[in-house]
Amino acid sequence: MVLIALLFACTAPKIAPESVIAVQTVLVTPAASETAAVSGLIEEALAADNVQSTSVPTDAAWTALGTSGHRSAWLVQQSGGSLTLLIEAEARRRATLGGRFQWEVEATVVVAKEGLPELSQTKIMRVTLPHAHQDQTDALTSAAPRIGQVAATLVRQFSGNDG
Amino acid sequence: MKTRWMMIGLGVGLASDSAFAGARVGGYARVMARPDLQGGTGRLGYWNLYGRLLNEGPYAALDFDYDVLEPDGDAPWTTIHMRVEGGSIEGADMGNGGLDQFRMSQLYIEAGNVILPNVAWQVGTLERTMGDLGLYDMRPATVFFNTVGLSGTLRSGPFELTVGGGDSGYSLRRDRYHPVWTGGGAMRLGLGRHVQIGLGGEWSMEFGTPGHRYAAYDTPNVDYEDWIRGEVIEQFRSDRPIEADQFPDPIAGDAQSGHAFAYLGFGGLGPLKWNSTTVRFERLHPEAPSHEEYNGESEDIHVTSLTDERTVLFVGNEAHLELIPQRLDVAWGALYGQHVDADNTVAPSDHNRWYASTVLRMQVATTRTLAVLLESSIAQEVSTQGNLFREHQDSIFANTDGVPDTRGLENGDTDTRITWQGKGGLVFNPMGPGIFSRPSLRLLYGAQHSNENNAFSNHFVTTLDQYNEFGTVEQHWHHVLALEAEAWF
Repeated sequence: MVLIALLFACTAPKIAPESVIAVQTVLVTPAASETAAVSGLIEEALAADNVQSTSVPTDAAWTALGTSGHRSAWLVQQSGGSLTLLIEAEARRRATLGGRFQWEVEATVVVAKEGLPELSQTKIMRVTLPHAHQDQTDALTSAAPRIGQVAATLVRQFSGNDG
Repeated sequence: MKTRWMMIGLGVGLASDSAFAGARVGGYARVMARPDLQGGTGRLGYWNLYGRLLNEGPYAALDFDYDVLEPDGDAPWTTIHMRVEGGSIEGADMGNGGLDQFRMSQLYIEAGNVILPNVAWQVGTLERTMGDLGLYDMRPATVFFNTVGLSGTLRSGPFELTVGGGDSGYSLRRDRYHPVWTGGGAMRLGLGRHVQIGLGGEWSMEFGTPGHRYAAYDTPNVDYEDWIRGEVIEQFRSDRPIEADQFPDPIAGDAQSGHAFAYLGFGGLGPLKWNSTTVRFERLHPEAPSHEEYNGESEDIHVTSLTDERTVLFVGNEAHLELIPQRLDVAWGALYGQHVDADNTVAPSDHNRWYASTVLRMQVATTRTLAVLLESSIAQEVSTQGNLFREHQDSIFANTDGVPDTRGLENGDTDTRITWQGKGGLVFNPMGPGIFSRPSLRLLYGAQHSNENNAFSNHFVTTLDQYNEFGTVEQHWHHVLALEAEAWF
């Protein structure tokens, strides 16, 4: 019964919420090349949930910020107090399993707005890559749609519109 | 040195709170229902030479990691890793998920940035691989599969080097344990984003230990044919009827084995996502003794020198193409294997054969989570030393030239098995499209044609004895329906 329910769930098309939410976004990964590789995929996943993200450029002051809370506060300030989304993601190689290569992606998502307590969640995701040479960028790319989905859910939750 | 280890020990204690968050569980699962209406056990063919799909049974693996010290820049880190795996699920196979079907296949502790920066030391099981031929579920670019010991892995940019050594005795000899020293290594180098090369190998030595009953020995003057017929004692008594107590004592010797491989990978070129080619040459470890009984006398027949010239040459290739992004994926594989047993010049066996196979899989995503899968394979297996396969249920009467030979060593009426398989069905991918997207739930149909009779695992009676109450069956087509699920997690 569970299998049949899953099969039917897979065939059903996903329906995005009608209301559009705009957020100011910063994506942080350990390397700029990784950020460039995954930002488009995350934006795509956000857009699929009708969350329109606008990337906020960072400056020299940004690099001195030591915690997610500080970075989120900076982002809110830069965005004039509007709704913001901070995504921090990094990947780490774990084991080899059945000839595949397991990676662990840790993503911290912070949604904030001036005058409101921020909403934050850290997700650890398992990624299995087929080749030995694949690196952090490949692991983050593979996890990007899921990171985007988590972020979209939190944005809607924060906005009081769960879709 | 002592101070450094004390600091690590102190670090373990101090890090205990954060380490709690560093535990994780991953794994692999494959489960299926494949009721077989033709007398088989739910697998389309004999083995994964015809592609792993529908030819493998259930499997489950649980992988545990625990970060005692999480990696943090150049500071020392250490992780405990263990894995339990096995091929049985309640209701899905005859093992019914019994825990005796499972084993702890891996347990090791890794410690990084200790003594040398960018080097991870590993103590415990050492298996290391450069990936697999996924369509066949084969991993020729692997070292230390049997070895427990110490290895060091240097990772520096696109360069990765592993050197290690240890004991393979329990894995190779099991309850007849005798140490088998193994040393070797593997190297992988990336040449830009598009090319990877790799080399690796290992060598195992089993030195003679006088007096050790499980060491490598040879029973003198054993004829190969007498041994495979199980007639060594009988022949000895026949030749020496008056030497009643003189069955020869075994003579201690050394045993060796090993393999080397070369790997070439390239990709990221247009629709070609990646292509992996591996060449491997292996010399198999000699066998343990066999036991014989004759006329109330029982002896172990030690056969190190009768089984020490078995070699395997393996060449495999697999390519992954994304012909239409997010829509049409193709995986193509091909392999060739040649097994030679220079000691055996009299009987067909799995050690004297060659085989070649190719598999093509296509997966078309019709929606984001629903795909159509099509796969086909063709394979030829040839015994290089006489007949090994039965084309007909009565082939026991049709050895070479159709002549019955009750003392013959052949196993059938042909030396060649040709197998074709076709598979197709629906695949549900909750995580989105892609040939590697998992979990995947599949509703599949598979058909096989082979020139061999009943070329799939089965419970048919094959004897032509007049008292066979079940009769015999001849069929060359095999059909299987399957509902199955597979996941890495």
